[in-house]
Amino acid sequence: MSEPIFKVRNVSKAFGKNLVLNNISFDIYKGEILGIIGASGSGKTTILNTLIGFLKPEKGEVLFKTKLQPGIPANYRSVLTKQDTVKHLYGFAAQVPSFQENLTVKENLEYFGSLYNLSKTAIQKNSTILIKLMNLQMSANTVAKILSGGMERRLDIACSLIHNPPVLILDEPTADLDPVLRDHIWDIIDKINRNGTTIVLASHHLIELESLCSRIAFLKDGKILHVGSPEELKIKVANFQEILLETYPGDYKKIIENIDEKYIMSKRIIGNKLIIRTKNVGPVLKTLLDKMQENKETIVDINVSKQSLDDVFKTLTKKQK
Amino acid sequence: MKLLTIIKKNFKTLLRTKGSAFVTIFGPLLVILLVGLAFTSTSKSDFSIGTFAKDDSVLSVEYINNLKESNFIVTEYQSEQDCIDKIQEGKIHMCIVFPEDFEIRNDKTNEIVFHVDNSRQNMVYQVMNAIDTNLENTSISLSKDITQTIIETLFFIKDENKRDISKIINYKKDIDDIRAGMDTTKGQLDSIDLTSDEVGTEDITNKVDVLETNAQRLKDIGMGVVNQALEFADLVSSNTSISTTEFENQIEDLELSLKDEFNQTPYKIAQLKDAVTRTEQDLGKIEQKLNLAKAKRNDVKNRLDSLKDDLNSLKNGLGILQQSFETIDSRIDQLTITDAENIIKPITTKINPVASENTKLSVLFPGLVMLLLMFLAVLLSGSFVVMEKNSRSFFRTFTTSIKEYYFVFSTYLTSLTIIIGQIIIILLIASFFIKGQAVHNLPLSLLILFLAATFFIMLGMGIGYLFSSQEAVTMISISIGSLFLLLSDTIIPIDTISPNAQAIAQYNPYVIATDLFRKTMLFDISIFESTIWLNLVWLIVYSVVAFGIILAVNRISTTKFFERKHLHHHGPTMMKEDKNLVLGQIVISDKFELLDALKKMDNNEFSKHCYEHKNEFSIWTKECLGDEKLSRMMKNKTRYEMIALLEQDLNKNKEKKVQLGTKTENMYEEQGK
Repeated sequence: MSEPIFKVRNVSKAFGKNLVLNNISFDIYKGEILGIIGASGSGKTTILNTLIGFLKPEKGEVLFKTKLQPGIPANYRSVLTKQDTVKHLYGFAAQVPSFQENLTVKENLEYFGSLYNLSKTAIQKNSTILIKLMNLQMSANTVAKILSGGMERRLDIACSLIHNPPVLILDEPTADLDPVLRDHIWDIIDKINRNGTTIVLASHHLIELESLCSRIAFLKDGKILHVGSPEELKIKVANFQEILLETYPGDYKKIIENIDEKYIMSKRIIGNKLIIRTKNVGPVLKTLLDKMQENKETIVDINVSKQSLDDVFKTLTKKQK
Repeated sequence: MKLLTIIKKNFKTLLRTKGSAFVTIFGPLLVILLVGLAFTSTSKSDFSIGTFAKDDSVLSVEYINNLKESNFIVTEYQSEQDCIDKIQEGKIHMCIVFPEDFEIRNDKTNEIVFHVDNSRQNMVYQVMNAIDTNLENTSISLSKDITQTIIETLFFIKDENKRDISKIINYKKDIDDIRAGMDTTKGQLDSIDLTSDEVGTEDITNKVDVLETNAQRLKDIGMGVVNQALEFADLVSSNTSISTTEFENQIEDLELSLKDEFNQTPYKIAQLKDAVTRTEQDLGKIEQKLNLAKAKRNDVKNRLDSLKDDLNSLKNGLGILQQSFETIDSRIDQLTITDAENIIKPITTKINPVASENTKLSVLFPGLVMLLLMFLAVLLSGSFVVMEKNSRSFFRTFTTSIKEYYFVFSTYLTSLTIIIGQIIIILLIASFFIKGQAVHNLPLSLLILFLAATFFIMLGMGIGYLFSSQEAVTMISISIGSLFLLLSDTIIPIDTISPNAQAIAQYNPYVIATDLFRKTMLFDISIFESTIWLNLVWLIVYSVVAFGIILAVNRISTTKFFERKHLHHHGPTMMKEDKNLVLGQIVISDKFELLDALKKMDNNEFSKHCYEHKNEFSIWTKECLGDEKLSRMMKNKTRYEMIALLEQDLNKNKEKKVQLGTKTENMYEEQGK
């Protein structure tokens, strides 16, 4: 692995008495998509803001890699010391899309390009590329405030990329979007990443992150619990499967009463569904089917799911609990 | 380039927000246009006045006619209540009730009652003001007549006085004459000789005795003579032939007569003595009378003296009276103003405007322009800042490499451009409404407007940076503007406020700017006059200080933005695909877990998720659990209410399940059978 472009070292950040980040350390590498996952209030947004120097940590530091001189080892500087340089390094799309509502898509890109001190030519060139990349050609001259949620999100990302930054930071990029739009956004993020942009994102859509992120950092109570690729995390943390069962008439108490407890990690009845977590799907499933037959239960729905990042996350958070 | 881009963006933002654009750009222009139309006329506004008079007295009729002549719309009502009702209905602005038998008399106080609607204070005072003027004219007319009568009476008294003084002088002379007469009388009285010489009756008696003796001796002598004559006759007769008989006879007759006479002498002497005695008695009486006369004379003299004293007193009295009359006369003479109109209205006011314009607008205009400029600048710049702060682009702007002061400058320049544009339009409108030259010293006026606009824009921006909501910015801007306004001459004369407030008011930038602008608008004044340049320096100082503060506040405001953003970002997160609600360390996936979490959490924690109009639990229940009914019920509920609701809901479901279970059992039982 190459040298990281950002180094987060022992960073602690508090708001008043509330310690949001507690001595966290991790690296960001060029070209990767780093997903940061954590419950609300766990400090995801704070990490992102601290990463680029919006927030000054009480302890620790965030370092960014300055331009490399040939033959000279990589040099790192604090993001707080060179804000102008750092701001050119990244593009940031926050949870709530941020742009000028009363300007058109094109005007927005031109406006923010201008604020980055880009030349007119560069602004035109980048705008055209981004409008195409974000599939906003039809809405280029539409005033931003009447854009749909998905378009807003795409415009926001486009605005973040207008100065062609090497790093794109996305905070909940698919929040409040429907599955189709979410997929579209993930596609775009993937495309951007393929173009060589490093992406750091915070999201709750664990399933989608699983397929997209190179590495994932689990954040809890201001601490990084684990950082690694999705596969590494699944192997390391989650090792169970979930059986979802819906029967008629649904007397789940009788169905599960004789199942050997040693196989069951948890069992829940939510609505008219029975959810069982187990490390041994085979014996549990066999027992369940036997019991159903015995109790004359009719299967309405049955599903066995493999562990996902969501499971990993829950396992991690419940462990803490 | 960046600055221009931001200004362009500001204008686009403003113009594309139609409501704001209209209010911001056309609002002030509309105000100035309306004010121009309202104040350009010098004619009196028409007010509707109701009147009620029980009888048509001359005065009330005259008064009503005066009102009508003064362009008031006057409606006469048949009853006082009717008149009052019309005020309540808003058909008239005031009801004037004239007293019964309305006339000027000593024994009568005339009270005209005005019924007004106090809830419409401004209107009331305008109407009162207009009516006062009218009433004053009528009162002056009445007073003039009365005063004229008084003055005429006074001068009549003066003339009478003069005549009376002459009479008094004559009386005084008469008194003096009387006194002189009395003195003469007194002298004459004194000159009357009432003395009497002692009449010696003894001497008379002695003389009578002497007379008796002498008579005896005379008798004796006579007798001797007779005897001698007889002897002589005898001798003659005897010696001569001459008869002596006749002679002798005559002598004898003589002797006889002598004897008779002599014989009568004692009697006569006695008679004489009686006469002397009577004379003595008469003389005694005369002496007595003379003594009485003397006493009477003395009495008269005393009376005369008393009368003289009385006359003196009278004269003195007349002197005092004369003096009083002369004082009255002198006082009347001292009355320099004897014209009734001058007495009623000794001072007549005539307002000669220093400036040539003759409409209210020309006088109001500088204050009005500054007032609009102040509110416009404060509200506009404040709105720009808060719009920018609250705009969705604020975060993105912050992520760019642009320096913060660009936004300060761009907001300032955008506001300034709009204000300059409006001021130009206002001045153009003003030149249409104001007769004569609207602005005397245009460059200086523009400089003042520029400095004032700069300060007020900075002030507005400061407010915008300090407060985050448009409502707060509007309220604070209006409050500060109103404070400036109150501490100025615009609403109440500055001299009538407390000395402390006056001291503050002189540093009021609005007062300074208005005063400067008024001077340059109405008078051809130079920048080099001390009052001008000193105030200009004040404005510059204010603007520079405000600019410094703005930069600092902007910096703090931006920093606070992130702090706030993070402090408020601790709510739950919904993971729709899993229907999980994550509350910090707790992951909630159903109502049971939510109930459990609600029971465990404290109210502080609860308030982090349910605040203002946001209720995370309600939203989660609806969006993730699909229970809209429960979600609705959970809105605006406390933690305990929410716990109770959930328990109730869960119990209901449990009952349903039991019922369902029993039904199923029965079903299987039936099937088994």
